[in-house]
Amino acid sequence: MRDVLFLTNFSDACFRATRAVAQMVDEVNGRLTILHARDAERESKSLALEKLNSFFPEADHFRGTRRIVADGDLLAAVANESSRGIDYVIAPVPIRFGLPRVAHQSTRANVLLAHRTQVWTTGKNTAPVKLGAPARNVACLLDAPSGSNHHIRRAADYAAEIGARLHLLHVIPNMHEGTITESPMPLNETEVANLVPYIARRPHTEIHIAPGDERQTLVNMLRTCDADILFLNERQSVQRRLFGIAMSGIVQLAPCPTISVAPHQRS
Amino acid sequence: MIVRDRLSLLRVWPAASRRLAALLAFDIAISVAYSVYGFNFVSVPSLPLPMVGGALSIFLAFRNNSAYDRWWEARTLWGALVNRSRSFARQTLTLIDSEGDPGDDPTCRELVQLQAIYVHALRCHLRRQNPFPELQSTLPADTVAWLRTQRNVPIAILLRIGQLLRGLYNAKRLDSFRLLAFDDSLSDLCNIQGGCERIKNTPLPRQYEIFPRVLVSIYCILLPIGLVSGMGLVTPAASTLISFIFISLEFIGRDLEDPFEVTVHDTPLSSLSRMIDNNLRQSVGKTELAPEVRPIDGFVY
Repeated sequence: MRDVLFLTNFSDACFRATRAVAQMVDEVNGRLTILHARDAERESKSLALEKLNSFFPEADHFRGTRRIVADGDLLAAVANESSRGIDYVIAPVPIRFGLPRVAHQSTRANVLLAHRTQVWTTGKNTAPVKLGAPARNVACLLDAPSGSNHHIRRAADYAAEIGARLHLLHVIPNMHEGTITESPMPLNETEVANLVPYIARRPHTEIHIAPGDERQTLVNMLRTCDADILFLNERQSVQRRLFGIAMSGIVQLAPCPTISVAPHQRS
Repeated sequence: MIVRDRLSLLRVWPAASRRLAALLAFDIAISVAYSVYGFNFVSVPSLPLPMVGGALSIFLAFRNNSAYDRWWEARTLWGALVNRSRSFARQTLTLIDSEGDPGDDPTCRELVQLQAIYVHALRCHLRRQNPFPELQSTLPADTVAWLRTQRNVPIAILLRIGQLLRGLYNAKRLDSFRLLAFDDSLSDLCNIQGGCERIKNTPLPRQYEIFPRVLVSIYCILLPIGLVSGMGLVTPAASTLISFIFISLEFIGRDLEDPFEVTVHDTPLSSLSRMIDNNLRQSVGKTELAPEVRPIDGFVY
């Protein structure tokens, strides 16, 4: 049984994500914990409990569901739950005011970096139809040439667990005139397969390669293979800025939910 | 469903922010170009803005009325589901011959439980949500395995209920008149489900979606061009305010037309499902009830 931790602040995005949570719980035979970190100055404990009990009420019928109201820091509460072992953290995209956020510290990014777990999230372009739909196509973005590809194994295991096709995606950056050294970047299916041989030769696995701008090309490839979920590693998921940290543009623009995998978490 | 009078700006702003911000920037550019730099060509005071605005308002009102009709029909159907579920439970506990208290009879309890499960399954069906995490904890494994093979899980549950009633008829615990009464109940439930599916699967004609958005955008772009000669540097304030009114009217229609989309504008399916579940539990004498679903920040889901 997998442990799924659903972080909620009762926003619209959290309500929309309940469909995806139900689907994931069924697919991975999950045990759900719904966590809300309350601001003690603005919200009494009884009010927070009342809200939490009214949020996603059908989860009470799931096996082993727990509801937790944590006081204060959300990351500390996640750390406490992580110590018991968490397989997935569900953290939907927060409401955006539409204005630039300077020195923003993304909760999702911090959870991923601090707790070495898998973080499921959505972006502003995530198609609503993908939330809650059975995952038939699991995509995974290769980090080449020498990046960490631990997330590919997780994607392969996830695809095998739920009976989905695995799509390995590789974007070749635009080559400019003047590139004089031989690039270590894999440029064809054979080279990609050699990079991850233990995965590429599994049944129901496809390799997609395309040149171009990483974000836009990736979005096109995701639409082509009709991906229902995209696996990324830490480097692809997190964008470090001068005064803050945020989820990367890939997470924001992907038309499907993403699962960011940090290394050294329990399988 | 929104149940409070004042809405947080955080809930309203994001949906309209980018369009309004772009329009405000455009309005400012027009008013500065005319008033400060004297570019008279950006002003066309003879534009028929009042007439176009009036026609657009009528169009938006008609569209919003249609969207509201769908929203209200969805609520009416679920109100009928509440009534029919209670009636079914009453029929089960009063029309079926049983030794002793019908609330203790296993078949009667199973029928009432299946009715509650049907409501939850219908809620998941309309929201396109996986029902099996809920069903696994309340139904036997073989029943869940059978339901997984069914495309329409609520209808399959109704079929199971009908099969149980047929078994009671064969066991002479129901006569044909009472079986007919039960069949009418099941038919009503089927009709309610059909009505909900009709709303879910048949959106408003796309012309009602596309044309209002295009026409409102064109009108909001023409607004500062028609107003700037009379209002000068105050044009952005007036133009943005009028644009906000039309954009809001457009959003109201868009938000209401799909009442089963897991948004704050939906029919409160979770709350109604919980209420039906608790009513049916009490009817068979159970005392452990799930807590009532209360509004969260003024929204009921």
